[in-house]
Amino acid sequence: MPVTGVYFDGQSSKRQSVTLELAQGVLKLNSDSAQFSVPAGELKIAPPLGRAARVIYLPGGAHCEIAQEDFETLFPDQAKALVPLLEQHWPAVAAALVITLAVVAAAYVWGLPYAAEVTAGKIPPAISARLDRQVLANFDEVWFEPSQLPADRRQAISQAFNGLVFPDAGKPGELIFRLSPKLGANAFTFPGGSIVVLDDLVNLADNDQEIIAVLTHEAGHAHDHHAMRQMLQASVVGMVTLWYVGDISHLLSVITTVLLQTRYSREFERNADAFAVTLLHANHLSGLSLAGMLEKLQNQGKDSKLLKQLPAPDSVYKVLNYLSTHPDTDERIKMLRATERP
Amino acid sequence: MPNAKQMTFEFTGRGGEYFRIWMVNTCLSIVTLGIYSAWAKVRRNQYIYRHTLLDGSGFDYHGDPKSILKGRIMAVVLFGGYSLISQFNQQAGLVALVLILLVMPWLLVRSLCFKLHNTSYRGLRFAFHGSVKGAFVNLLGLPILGLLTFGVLWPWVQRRMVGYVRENSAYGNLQFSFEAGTGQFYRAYAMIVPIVIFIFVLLMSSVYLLGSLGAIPIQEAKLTPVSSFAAALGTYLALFVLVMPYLEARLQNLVWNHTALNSHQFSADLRARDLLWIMSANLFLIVLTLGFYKPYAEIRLLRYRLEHIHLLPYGDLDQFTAGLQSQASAAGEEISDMFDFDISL
Repeated sequence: MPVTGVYFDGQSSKRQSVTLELAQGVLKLNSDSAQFSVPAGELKIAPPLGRAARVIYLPGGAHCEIAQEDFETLFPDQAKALVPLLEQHWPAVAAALVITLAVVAAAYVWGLPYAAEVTAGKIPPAISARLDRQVLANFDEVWFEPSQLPADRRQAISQAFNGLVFPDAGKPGELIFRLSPKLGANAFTFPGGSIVVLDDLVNLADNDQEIIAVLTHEAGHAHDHHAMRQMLQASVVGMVTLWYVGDISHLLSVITTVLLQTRYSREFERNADAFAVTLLHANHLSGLSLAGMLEKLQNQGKDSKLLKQLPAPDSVYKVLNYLSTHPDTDERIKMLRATERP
Repeated sequence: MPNAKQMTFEFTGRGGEYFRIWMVNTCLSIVTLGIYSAWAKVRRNQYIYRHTLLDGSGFDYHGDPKSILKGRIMAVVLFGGYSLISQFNQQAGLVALVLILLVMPWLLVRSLCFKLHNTSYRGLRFAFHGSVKGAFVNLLGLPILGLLTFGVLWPWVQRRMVGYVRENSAYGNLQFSFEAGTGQFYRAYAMIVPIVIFIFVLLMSSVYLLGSLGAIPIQEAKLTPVSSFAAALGTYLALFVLVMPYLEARLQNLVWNHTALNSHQFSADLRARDLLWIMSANLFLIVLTLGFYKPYAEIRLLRYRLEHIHLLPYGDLDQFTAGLQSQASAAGEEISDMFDFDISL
């Protein structure tokens, strides 16, 4: 049965009405001015797409456009390609959705942390050290001032820390002393494994055991490359969310990235605590000093100088605190106390 | 002028249909570790092009997935190499960035060639004839100059960029032309200044007022810093939410109203408030559906944009003939996509 379509010769934009008919494997085209035939084997038929007109490419650059229904009349036995078939069936689309969600969730929960762990363990020490020097230089510019502690005090802490017996002969990272009125009492581990102690933390501690306890926690971060893994994961999560959400709103992508990150950091804190307890016990020290120090840090965090500078209501401080470097402090103190109970 | 009937671009794509294509594309791309994404791109473009009609005929996309895949692999290597280098060594990263910037004009020209060469309407291909030298001046040198002058020259730079792309584009045997004055670009940007000042003053005075009345708990000594902080934050958000749609509408109208294909004149009549409404509704629904509204949002925005572009043809559209055909590689297009340099308006 002949159907009508539109014919373009590929040489001009002229639109011509044609009738098309398929007989014995040959497509016959008839227009007002001309008629010709093309063997069906030489046609290139574009797969269907939504309700768009079907396109038949003819040899030599010409093509025909015909409506979807007319195409089916013309080629009743035309087998559909796999992808258009999937797109036309809602159950297949639903399956695609489930598979996509499952793969993305698995990549986020297992794949990314695993890849980051493997990569972080393989970074040469020379590169880690160079990275830390750069991070320290940035921090020195914005947050840090030289430490005001007496040299012998710093020496004593370094010696006590380096004198610890580490379980699997892993060396502790370099200890760096700094003063930071903006950050207050804190200690952190850089991606390359260097540990920074701030003067206020040393002054906040009641005894050296408490300082050592905090440093063993940081040594746990360094030992398992937490900061490096965090950095690698953050880059990937950031890139993916920016790619997906970025063209809608940059602000939204930043919020999503931050929220997706907190899960990882909480896990790292718990692991670092476990490492600290093992290390403290191996050196005949108590995990209670870490719990005591955490409590002090939590109390002073509530009126930290950094947060006080920002003009905002109390609830904002709580949110900032919650998302800050050391989340879930109450829970961690409880767990540390529980492990020390005889 | 014979037959001066204005034609409007029509978009017949539907959110539901596009969602299914998008979902199958996404799933297959993930399962094949990204390899299918090249085929997905062709399918997506074909869906959009074939559902875009002018005078009853659709556009078509002819990009070869294998060329796109090659381009994507090159892009990943280049981008991955750059981000790896810059993570560990800032100086080496800077050198790599400069090198990438230097090849960027060439890549952009390749990208435009590929995109236009693979676009057809009524069986005739589009084409891009811009020189790499022209791209160096208009797409690299001038934007850097625009940045160095803190944006003062930016409207002029943008006119030059749009002009370079449009004047070097062709459909069949005819060249596009672009004739807009620099002053018109400056006027499009000029309205932003009063809008920003208005928003800032409005936010600051309302926070100050509410604070001093006790409606928001703020200490009296902190009233000025708190209200200016809130106003600065609010204005920054408003820049994205309010000013972007406004600027987009103004610029798209300006560009199309001064674009012609030989004696066939284009025009556009987008409205900022319509774009604002569509963009904010899209954003709201995307957040509400955890991202799954995205394909619907894309279709909705595209339909609005296309259906507000018109063509006033001189005579009928039957008289175009084919221009010289050339092969174009996909590498440029993919790499410039990765680096977010897509400047083809």
